[in-house]
Amino acid sequence: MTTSLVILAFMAIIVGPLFGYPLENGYIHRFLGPVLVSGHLHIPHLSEGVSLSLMMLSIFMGIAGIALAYIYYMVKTDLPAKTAGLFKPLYKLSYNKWYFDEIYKSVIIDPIITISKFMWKGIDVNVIDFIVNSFGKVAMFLGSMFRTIQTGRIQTYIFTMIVGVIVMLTVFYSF
Amino acid sequence: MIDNVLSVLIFFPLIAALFIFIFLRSDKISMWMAFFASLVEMVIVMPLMLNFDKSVAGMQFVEKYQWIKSFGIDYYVGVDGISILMIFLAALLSSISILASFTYIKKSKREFYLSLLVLESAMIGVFVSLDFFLFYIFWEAMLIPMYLIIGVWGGANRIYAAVKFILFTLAGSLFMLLAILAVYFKYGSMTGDYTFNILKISEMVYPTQFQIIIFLAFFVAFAIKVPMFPFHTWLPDAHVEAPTAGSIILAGVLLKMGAYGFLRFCLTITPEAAIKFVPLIALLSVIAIVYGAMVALVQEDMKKLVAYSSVSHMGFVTLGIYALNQSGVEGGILQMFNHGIITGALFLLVGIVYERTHTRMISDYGGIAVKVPLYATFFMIFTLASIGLPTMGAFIGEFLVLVGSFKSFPTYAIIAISGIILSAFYMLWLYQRVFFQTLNTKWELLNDMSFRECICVLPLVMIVFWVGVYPETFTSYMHESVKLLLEQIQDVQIAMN
Repeated sequence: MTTSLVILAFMAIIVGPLFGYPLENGYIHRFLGPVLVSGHLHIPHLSEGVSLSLMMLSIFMGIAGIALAYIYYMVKTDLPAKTAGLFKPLYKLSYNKWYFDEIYKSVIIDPIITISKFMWKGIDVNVIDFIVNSFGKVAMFLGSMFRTIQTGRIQTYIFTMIVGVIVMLTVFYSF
Repeated sequence: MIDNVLSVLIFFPLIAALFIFIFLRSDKISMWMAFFASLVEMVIVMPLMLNFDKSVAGMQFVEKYQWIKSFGIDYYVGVDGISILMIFLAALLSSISILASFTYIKKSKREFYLSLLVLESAMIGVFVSLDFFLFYIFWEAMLIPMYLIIGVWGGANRIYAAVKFILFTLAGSLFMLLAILAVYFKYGSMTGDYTFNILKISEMVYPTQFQIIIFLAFFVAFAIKVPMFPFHTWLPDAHVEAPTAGSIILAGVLLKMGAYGFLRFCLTITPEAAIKFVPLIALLSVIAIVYGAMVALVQEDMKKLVAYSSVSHMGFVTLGIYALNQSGVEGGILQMFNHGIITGALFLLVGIVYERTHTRMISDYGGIAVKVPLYATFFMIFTLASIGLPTMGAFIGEFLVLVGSFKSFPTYAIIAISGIILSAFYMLWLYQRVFFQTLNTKWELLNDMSFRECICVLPLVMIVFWVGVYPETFTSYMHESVKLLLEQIQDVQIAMN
């Protein structure tokens, strides 16, 4: 953990000069300039005062943060607990990462999984596949109905045939 | 260069299968012989790929012999930029699935490899046929070995899955047969020349009403094969029950035939109807993308998860094809190829671990990355590839599809992107639950991948990165053929307005 932080810290130092001071005069701008700026394009430049005060502000914030952390965790180690007691709800909120994971889980993940489960069990298995299997069931049912007339008894077949012939003859000759 | 290279490609595996059937009795020798034959097939595909003239839009390596004169049936084969990658895919995945089955298949080994070789012949036949009669024979012939592979060597519920697969596909093919006969007689009555020649039939302009009926009949056949929502329910069952080799071929090649049919028949024979049905098909594709991904998310079985992810990914293919512009169609074809490689690899990997543990339930795993680092690495590569990370094949395919579909239907393209996000969700979650977290003590003695298994996976890894880094090698094959196809459709579009 520390090693990676050290590496990142060094990189942060290198990045600064890359952008240069005043802003937009660094190496990166000269390098990318020909690609990004076509000449006609007007790009708003920050005035030197603004960029200077922005830099000052961020340096001040950084130092203030470091100082505060130093006081809290090195000098007066009872302060963190006191502050936590003072701003209890806020402390809890920040301790639990603003409940971001929980909100994310209940607003996005759980609904998606619930809907997906419904799509699988509800629609895929019980509607679409039910229709598919119904075709098979209907065919089986019809087959099971028709098989009852296939008795294999010659007498029945001949009898049915004769009845059929008589019916057909009556139908043909009566019209 | 071999003369009649396509005929050799079609019949070589069949002859090899016959040879094994007649002369070889030993399982082991048959197995190696089958693998050797599939390698030779790969070697024959190579000159086809290298000698293919990329600047020609039409058919190449054409062979035409009169077969049944009285019905206008010819033995007519050829390859163009749309089908050549599929031939490569079929040959490659056949070799890999034969090699991957060496220890997986325990019973009737010889017959298993015979089935795979016959299947390879039929698959290549489907992609090169330029005669409807021939095409239909190969299309149906393919079902028989696949039925056997699922029904004989499959899992516990294999009979149900095999019957469902065959009935579903057969129902679709019968619609297609009707459509084929209808265009045969229509073309014959319009010109007096009764022929099954696909190219001739495609050139004719048919009445709109007729086109719509034909289109719908073809659509049912191909939508089942792709499979498009809501014709997809055979797929999870078939995939889960099929042995590893069956799943690889099924996902890698057989699903592509549906999309290939859309390109080859629906767009050329019935362009007007196809244009009319674009909104419906684009809608179904987007539903398939999101729905497939969401259902994949909650699967408890690894193979089922990959199967539903196929539904989602194939949605991208159909969305791209029906965007009806260069980037969409090319993206669709490239995505067909990518999906074959990536999903094939995922099924292969799931099969490798299933062979050792005999369970596919995600909840049975956990933390196995420490025991099988090599396996975990390969699985991670294909997890990321399936999500569509840059430098990997699926990124290029999906990107082209999205660019193409954004031009034609921006709303759908935006919704389709959520499919990619969901794919990251289900794939990474799968990976987390299988490979990370605490190790399930049952798998203390789990073995890592063997040398043979690495050999199976490595070519797929190479191709995934090749497509991702330099897709032009693959897209250059299709440029001209796709351009020609789209020009024909544009003419129809102009005529319609």
